[in-house]
Amino acid sequence: MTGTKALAEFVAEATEILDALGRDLLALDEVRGRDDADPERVNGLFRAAHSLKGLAGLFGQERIARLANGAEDLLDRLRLGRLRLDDAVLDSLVDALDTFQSLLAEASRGEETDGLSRRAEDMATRLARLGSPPRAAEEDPLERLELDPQVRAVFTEYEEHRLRENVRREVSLWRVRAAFDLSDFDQGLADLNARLKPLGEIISTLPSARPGGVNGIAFDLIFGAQVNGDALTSGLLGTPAELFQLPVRPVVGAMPVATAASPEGAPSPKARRGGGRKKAARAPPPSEETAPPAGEGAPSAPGVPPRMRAVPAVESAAPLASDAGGARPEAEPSLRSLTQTVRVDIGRLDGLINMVGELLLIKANLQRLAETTRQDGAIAVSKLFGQELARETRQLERKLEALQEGLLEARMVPVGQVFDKLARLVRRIARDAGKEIDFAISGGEVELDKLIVEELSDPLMHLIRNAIDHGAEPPEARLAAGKSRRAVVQLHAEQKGNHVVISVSDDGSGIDETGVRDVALARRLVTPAQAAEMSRRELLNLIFLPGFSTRDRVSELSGRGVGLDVVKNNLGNLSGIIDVWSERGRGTAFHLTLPVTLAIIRALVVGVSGRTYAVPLNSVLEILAVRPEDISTVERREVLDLRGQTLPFLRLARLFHLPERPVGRHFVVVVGLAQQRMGIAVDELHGQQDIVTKPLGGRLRSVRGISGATDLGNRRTVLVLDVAELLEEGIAQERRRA
Amino acid sequence: MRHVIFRVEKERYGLPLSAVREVVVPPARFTLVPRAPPAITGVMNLRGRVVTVVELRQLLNLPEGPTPPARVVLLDRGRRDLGLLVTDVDGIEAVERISTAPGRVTPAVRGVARLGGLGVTVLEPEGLDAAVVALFTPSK
Repeated sequence: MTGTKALAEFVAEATEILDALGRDLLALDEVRGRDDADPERVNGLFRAAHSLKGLAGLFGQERIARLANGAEDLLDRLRLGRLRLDDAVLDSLVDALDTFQSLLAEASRGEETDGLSRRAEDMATRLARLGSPPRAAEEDPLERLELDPQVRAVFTEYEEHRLRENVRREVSLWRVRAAFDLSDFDQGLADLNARLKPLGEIISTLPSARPGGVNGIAFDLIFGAQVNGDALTSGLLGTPAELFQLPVRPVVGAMPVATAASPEGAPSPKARRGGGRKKAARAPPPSEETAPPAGEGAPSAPGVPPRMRAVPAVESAAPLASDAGGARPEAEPSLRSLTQTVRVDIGRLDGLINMVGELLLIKANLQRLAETTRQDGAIAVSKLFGQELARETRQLERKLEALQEGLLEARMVPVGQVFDKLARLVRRIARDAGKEIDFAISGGEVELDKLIVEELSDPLMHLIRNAIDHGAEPPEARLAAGKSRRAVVQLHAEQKGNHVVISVSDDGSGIDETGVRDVALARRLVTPAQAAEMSRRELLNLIFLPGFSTRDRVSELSGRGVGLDVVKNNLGNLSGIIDVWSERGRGTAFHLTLPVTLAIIRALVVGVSGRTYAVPLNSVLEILAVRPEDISTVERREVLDLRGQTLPFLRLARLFHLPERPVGRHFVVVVGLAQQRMGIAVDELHGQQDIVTKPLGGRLRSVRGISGATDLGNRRTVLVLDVAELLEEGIAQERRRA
Repeated sequence: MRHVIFRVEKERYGLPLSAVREVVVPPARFTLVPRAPPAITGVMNLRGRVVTVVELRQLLNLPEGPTPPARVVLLDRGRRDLGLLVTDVDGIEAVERISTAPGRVTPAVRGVARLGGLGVTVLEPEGLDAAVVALFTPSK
């Protein structure tokens, strides 16, 4: 995967992770100040940061990876209880998320500006310093709050305590001034309280020093906001409230957090000591970054239409914005999404596919009607009408095909998605196993149905673990065998017609087929007589039998009680097939052959003994007409000679215990998956049709050879043959009789 | 508790109303499933859903009778893909006081009750399900 496609994929995935981070942070923010943050939430954040780090590392996005590493460290400490989730931490995380978003925005444009790099570095430093040992002998936080002593004097002890607590936690403090008409001020105040409560803590409600006009009364609410200025502003939209932020001076002695939180430009504390009301020339606290630019200083008089304005704390103040602008040269991160991708629940796509399936049936009926109208004179319609109908139906058919194709495409995702996840795990597995592994991925751009890709990760993981654990030799053994020190494990995908072949291969020691035979004999999976007759390939295939495991020592990696039979079953559920190649000393390769999609497939409709079945066309190689005398019997099983190749011959009627009819000739559907071929004899061929396969209920899942049921439009349910299982059965029979 | 009362030949059976989704007329032809146990009548397509239909007579090892089955009782909840083929459905009745069935006990039978002077065998949905699953186990 290279270039823009890889980048787009990175941006899409990173956006998703950042979205999740944002959601979790928001949830934590809601319980801000309380100590009951959901630990699972913190864990989720930690995992998100971890995945982001891995993802960024994979795509060479160094800056994001470094910052994610910092965030991960911080969250790790948090998660392990070494750090308290206080507001400084939360604010830093929120800021970090902002930084991530800016970084991602640049990455998506392929840029890398120095300003942002510096900001990312600063942010990483800030994250690293968080939770440093608590400051010793700190001054009373209240001293840092710039509030009129007269106002402070009227606080109750409790209010003072709460205010101190809020300052200590670096909550942004606001004075919310609201003027109400005397006649209904109690109602208005109650409304305002209700609006404020979810946004933070109302520390005190005081009658305002400024009169509320002739018929009015004004209040000052001291408010510790758990949200930023923007949210507060919008949260109070429609109330007569005006907002003034109460400046908090950074701690004397430059606490790392505080300095990081309020960047350059903060005047020395001394400069602002003195009077009760201060000049507003100070750096904004972090949460202020998003505060709207301030309007003019003076608050509006009561009676002016309710309007929200964030203004500095003093009437004569300079606008906040100039200051904030100096500290943050970057433009506000755009809220517009960076990716053109829409994430859709696969269930919805399934629903749409089903719908298309039904439309296809209706179309088939329409086509039949059109055909009858055209040919059958009995229906009294004009010839013109018949032609018209036929034309429109064809039109419909084309559009439906396009719709179907589009929907199927929407389900397609590159297998690289799962490959990349595996790549991240390989290193760890190799280390644990004491092996030195080079992991090579190719063909990640090959696309498969999302459902299939999802289901692939477990089987592939298992095969890769196997390759590392059982296949690859330890470095010394490799050197002794004249191989390179590092073993190579390859994961490769390739499209072959209607199928995708994924292979997992290693250049390790290979599978010892005599060892396989001995184990199979010891476990009574085969009889000695059977084993004696088996070819090397057949012996190798024994490793897929349930209850087979080549190692006595249960390895922590592969020997988890899950064998290759499970891998094979998982693939079987995807209508896939697995094949093994191995040569002693040269390595092992597993080939997984999978259909591109399971949603809508084209099927060949066949008849056997009056029953109708559907055979997925993607596994049909050709159709032959065969006379009974062309069928020969080799070792009591029927075979067919096809251009010099001997094919197992399976009579579907016999397999399904249906009455067999004597026929002058058989139709033989030659099916094949991977290297395996088989001829299936049927009585009739009914043509092709697009089908949506519905699974049989859980109870019938154990009926082998049937993958599901479908509807052919004549309201009759038809069973869909599972070619992979039938092939296997053919081979199993071969083995049993051998 | 209200039960759906249905018959296999003359025998009356009941299932809790909450366990029954609906009652339908069986299609003219079921799609037969090859290599399935004989008690599996086949599958049918009910509004896009594939339903496995089991003949209750065979599931409960009842003797063969002359009357062809005329109704499918479709189960609900986690068993929506299972239907029971029965002779006929009588209706919904309140069944109280279920006592243990005499004779051999099967998990599919919860007990017996009296209804209008006649006996009703009350079935256990989970037991029925287990019986269907058991159909597959010995053969495979």
